[in-house]
Amino acid sequence: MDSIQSDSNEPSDLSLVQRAQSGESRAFDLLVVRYQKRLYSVIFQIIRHHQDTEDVLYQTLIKAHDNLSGFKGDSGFHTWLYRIAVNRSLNFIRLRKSHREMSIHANEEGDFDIIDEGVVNEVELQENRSELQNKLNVSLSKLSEDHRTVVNLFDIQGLSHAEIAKILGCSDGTVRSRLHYAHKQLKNYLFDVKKGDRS
Amino acid sequence: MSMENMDKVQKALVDLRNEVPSDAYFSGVLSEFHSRQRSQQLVSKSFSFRLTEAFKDLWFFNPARLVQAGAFSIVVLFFTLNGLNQSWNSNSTSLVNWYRGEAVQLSSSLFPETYLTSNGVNSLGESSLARPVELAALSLAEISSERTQYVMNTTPAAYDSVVAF
Repeated sequence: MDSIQSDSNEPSDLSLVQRAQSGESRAFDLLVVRYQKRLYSVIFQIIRHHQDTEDVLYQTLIKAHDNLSGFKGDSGFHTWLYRIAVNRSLNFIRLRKSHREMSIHANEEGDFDIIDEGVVNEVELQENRSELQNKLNVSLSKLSEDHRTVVNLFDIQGLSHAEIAKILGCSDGTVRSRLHYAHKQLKNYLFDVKKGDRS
Repeated sequence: MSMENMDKVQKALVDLRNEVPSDAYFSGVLSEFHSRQRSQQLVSKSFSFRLTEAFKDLWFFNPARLVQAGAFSIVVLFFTLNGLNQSWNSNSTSLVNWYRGEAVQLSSSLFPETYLTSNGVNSLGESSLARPVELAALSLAEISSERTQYVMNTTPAAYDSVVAF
C-alpha cells in the first residue's frame, strides 16, 4: 500500500511529499489534513489521554515536517509517519511512567500528591462507551506496551503485518508472534472479565 | 468464547478507531500546528540570538581577532608538534640501539658462528662442549661495551656530580 487515498482525484502521498520537499508548504498542509485523524487515533490508543495525545500529535507533525527531506520513499509515507507517531507515543508513556514512579516515591516521602490525570480522563471516557468497549479497554490496558501497540496497529488501524513490521522496526514473524500472543491474552482477559460479571 | 463473541470483539476493536474528537476539533489542527511550529522556530532562533549576544562583547568575537588568534594557535601548535616529533625520534633511536645491543648479546652468547646441536656437536661436526663458555665470556665483554656505549651516547644516568659529595 503506497498511499491511503479517499478519492482518486486527490494527489497521491508521494506527489505531495515531493512538492513539500521542494518547498511548497501547502502540500505538507494537505498531508496534515489527510492524516490528522488517523494519527490522532494511533497516538490516542497508546497514550489514552486526550491532552497528551494532542501534544504528541503536534510533536509528530513538526518532526515529520523537519525531517521530510530524509524521507526517501522506501516505504509508504503513512508508514513513515506512523513510525514517528508510535515512537513518540511510546517514548511519552515511558517518560510518564518513570515520572509517575518518581512521583510515587516522592509521595512516600510526603513531598507532594499524585494526580493521575490519565485515570481521571479514562473514567470520563468510559461513560460514553458501550459495555463491550469498556471491557475491551480494560483488557487492552492489561497488555504490555508492545502487544498493545501491535493490536492497535493491526486490529484497530487495519495495517498489514509488513507495514507494522516496518513501523516497529522488527521482523514480520515478530509481529505475527506478538499478535498471536496478544489475541490469546485478550481472550483470556475478556473471558475473566465476563466470569467476574457473572459471579 | 464463541465465534459470535469473537466477531463482536473484532468489531469493537475496529470501533475503537473512531475514538477521536469531533470534526470541529480537527478543523483547528492545521492552524494550531502552524502556530506551534512558529513558536518552536522562535525558541530556537531566540536561543541562537542569546548565544550571539552573550559572546558579542567578548574580545575574540571580532572576526579579525579570531583570525589572528587562529594563526597564532597554528604557529604554536606547529612548533609544539615539531619539538615533540624530534623528541620522539631521539627516543626511538635509543630504543633501536638498546634493541640492537640485546640482539648482539643474544646472538654472540647463544648462537656463535658455529651453533651447537643438542648432543654437543656443532654444525661442522666438531665436539665443542667447552666453546660456549669461552664465547659467553667473550660476549660478556661485548655486552658491557655495548651497554656502556648506550649509556654514554644518550642522556646521563644521573645528574649527581663529584661536587655534590
